[in-house]
Order: sequence, then C-alpha cells, then structure tokens
Amino acid sequence: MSHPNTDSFELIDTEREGALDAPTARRLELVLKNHWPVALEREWMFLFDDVRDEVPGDDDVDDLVEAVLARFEAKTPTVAMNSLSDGRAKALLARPDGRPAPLDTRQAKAIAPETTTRQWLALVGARSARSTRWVSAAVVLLAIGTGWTARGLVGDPPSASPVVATKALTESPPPLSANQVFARAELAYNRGATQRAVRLYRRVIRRYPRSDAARLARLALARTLLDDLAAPEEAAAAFATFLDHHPSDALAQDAAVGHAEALERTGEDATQTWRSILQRFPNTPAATIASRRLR
Amino acid sequence: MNESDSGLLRFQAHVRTRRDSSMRIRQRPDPYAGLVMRAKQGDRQALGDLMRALAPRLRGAARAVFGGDHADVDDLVQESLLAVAGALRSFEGRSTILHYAYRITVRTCLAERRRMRRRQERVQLHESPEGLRSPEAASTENVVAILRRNVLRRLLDELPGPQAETMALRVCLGMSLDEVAQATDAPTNTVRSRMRLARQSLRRQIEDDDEARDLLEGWI
Repeated sequence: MSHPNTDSFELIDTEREGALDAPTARRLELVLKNHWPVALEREWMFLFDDVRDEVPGDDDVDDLVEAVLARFEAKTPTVAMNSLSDGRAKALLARPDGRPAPLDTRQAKAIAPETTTRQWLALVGARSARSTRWVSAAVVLLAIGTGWTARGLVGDPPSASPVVATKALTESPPPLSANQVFARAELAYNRGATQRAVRLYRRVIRRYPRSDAARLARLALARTLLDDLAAPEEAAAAFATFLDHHPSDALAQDAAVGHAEALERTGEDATQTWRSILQRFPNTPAATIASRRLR
Repeated sequence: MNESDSGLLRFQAHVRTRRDSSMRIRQRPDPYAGLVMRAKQGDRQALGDLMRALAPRLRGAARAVFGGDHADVDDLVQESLLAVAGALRSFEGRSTILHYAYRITVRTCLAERRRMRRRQERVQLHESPEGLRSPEAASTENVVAILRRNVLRRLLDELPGPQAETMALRVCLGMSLDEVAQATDAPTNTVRSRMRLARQSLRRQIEDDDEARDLLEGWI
C-alpha cells in the first residue's frame, strides 16, 4: 500500500463525493485505523461542514454589500463630514488618544466628502501660523508622493474595520477606541445601515462595557431596536439593561420611557411601569409623558 | 454490522443527504462567470450581484475558519469582499470566483486570528469560540464539537502561512485536493506536500498539548 499521507487524500475525497466502492472503502478503513492524523483530519472535515451551513440571517447581505461597494468606489476614502452633527463630527475627528483633532467642527463640515490630503492640509494651513504652513506644504508633498488622503490623518473611514484583508492592507490600523466605534455606529445609522449600526453598538458594549460610549450605545441600541427594527421585546430588554447599569444616569428617564413604550408594543400591560416612572422621575419630561399615557 | 461498517455508512449517508459545499462548488462552468466578466468591465450592478451571491457563502467560510462572534465575522466578510472586488481585474479564471473568494477569506481570517494573538487578545478569542456562550448555539450545537473545531483553529495559528492556508481550505472548507490546488494556483503535488507537512506539525502539536489530546479523545 502507498504511504497513507499520499493516498489518503484521494480516499477521503472519494468518500466525500459518495463514490466509495467496496475495495476503496476497505483501503480507507485500513488507513484510518492505522494513522490517527488522517482519521482526525477526516473527522474534522465532517465537523466543519456543519459550521459552513447557512444560518438564518446569512442572506441578509444588503448592508454588507452596500458598505463594500461604497468603500470600493471611494477613490479617496474620506469621511462624509457634511452629514454629521457637531457632536458626531467631533467624536469622529477624535484621535486614538482621545484628544480632539486640530480642526473645529465647522471646518470639518466645510470639507467635502471627497477631500484630498492637499485640500485638507490647505485648510489646516489657512488657520496656522506662517511657519506651520511650510511644514504643511512639506507634508502635502510627502502625502502626494505616498498617496495619503485626509482619511489617513483623522482615522479610518467609518465603514472600515480593524480587520486586515490582504497583504496590500497589512498595515494594521491602531485599535479603535470606544468613541471611534460608537462614531462609526452613528454614521452607519445616519446612512440608513441600521443593521450595521446595531452590530457596532453591540461591539462597543461588548468590548468597552465600562466606557461612556458603551453607556450611550446601550440607549442608542435600545432606541434603534424599538423605532427602526420593530423588535420591541429585544428593545425592552435593552432598555432594562441600561436602567440596570445606569440607574441614576441623566438618561435613565429616557430609558424608562423607552422601556414602557417597548412593553406596550409587545402587548403587555405597561401601566405599572408608567406609574413607577411618575414616582421615580417626578417633575420631569418623563413624568409628563407617563401621566399622559396613564390618562 | 460491525462498528467500522456503521461508520462508513454514516458518512456515505451524510454525503448523500447533505451535498456539502465542496461538491456544490465543483460545478462547471463557473456559475458566476458572466457576473465576473461584467463586473470586470465596470458594471456596478453586476459587481453588487456578485457580492450578494458570494457573501452568504463567505460568511459560512469565515465562521468556519475564524470562529468568533457574528459582528467580527461580518467584518471579515466585508474585508474579504473588498479584497475580491479589488483583485477582480487580475482574476484570470483559473479557479471559480468562489474558490478565489474562499482563499481570500481564509487568508483574511488567518491574518486576523494572528493579529489578535499578537495583541494578546487570545483569552477573549479562545474563551468564546463560535459563540459558545450564546444560548442558541449552546442548545443546538454539541459543545464538544465546538471545542474540537476550536482546537484545530488554535493549531492552525501555529502553522506556517501556506500550510495553514492549505489546511484551512481543505479541512475547514471541505475542499478536495484538486480544488485546493486550483484555488491556491499551486500544483496538486505541492498541495499534497503542504498537507503532509501540516499533518506532521499538527501531530507533534497535539502530542505536546494535553488539553487538545483530552478534547480529541476517541479520535486519536
């Protein structure tokens, strides 16, 4: 018999094609009995078949594909600053160390989505001292030479992920901060990519559970589930999670109202929840809403 | 009927009923050849359709090779699709586009696993393989099967790049020797040689790893 390491590949392939005849089956059996690495490999192959099977939700690829196409078509992958609110633009412009980038929001808004490094640095240069302009000019020349874009100065585009795809992209980006991931979630939400936004909210919560961004993400996730995805049960659970984590937070009343609304939409009687809001948050907008609902 | 007979019958039945993806992707000609041609000519609609056709399969492939939770898997698929779109112009059709995309996905997943290890997030990665903690996975999946799959993923991390890629394509994605050869654009004998070396390395690693041996008890 040939060496099992050579022959066993064809034997396993034949078996997986369902084309085993009796003599070949006996050969395979003999190889498997005597060479456990071959048997192990074969068992693993069948074990992995289960994971590759499509699961519910695998066909839901529209958001994913749109994100890929947008990134692919963006010749200069820059952030669409025009679409951001002030707070979101600031968050997006934050550096990995948490400090704000040198531009203020109004300037950031003035930058078109297709802003190149040259335009970006020209804007920076316009507000800088004369000496800084020379430095900026030098950086512009370097940037043009190396193909940098404005994106390179402020972080990755919102749809990018920390994953490295190919050798061409092997320059790993620095780990994203909680604020950056949250900013991406907000950007995705504003673009209508709700599912992606939900995934990113969940990522912030999972990876940075104690951060301030996670606090906001908990509420944003709950609101998105309730208002955009019509998932009141999940939303109710998400609001409850927020209230568990941040019972005395300034946003707790918003979460409490959301929780009651979500319970109502599931068909449950939320009367008791509205009453508890009246007691817990007296003389607040939440109490006004609660008393109106109880009438 | 003795025990070995029942084992063979089990797997023959398995192959007949499941029609696993390694067989589906053998179809010739490439079912996506038309889309690929139009996408290469700059047809955005065709590129979108191609991405939509590949994405569900790549999700499964990324789950197999990477494990991990859903959000990470989608990131990997997005990166893989982006790389496929970028490489489309140089795609010469020596394999099917699905094989080609599988290879890119495998590379992406392996690179990400290694990157995560370098960042010492190993605990996070290995503590929750394939959403071991999620109730639905735990209720429908055999926990031992999940752990056994994770043993292979961990061992793949230790293999040299080409061996890990070949092993992942064959074992995790269930591709035949010829399919791996086409996907990697390598002679079949080279694939065979890589697999042989990978098997030897895995054997050594398993023999030195008490935890892996315990998990694979009954198989080795």
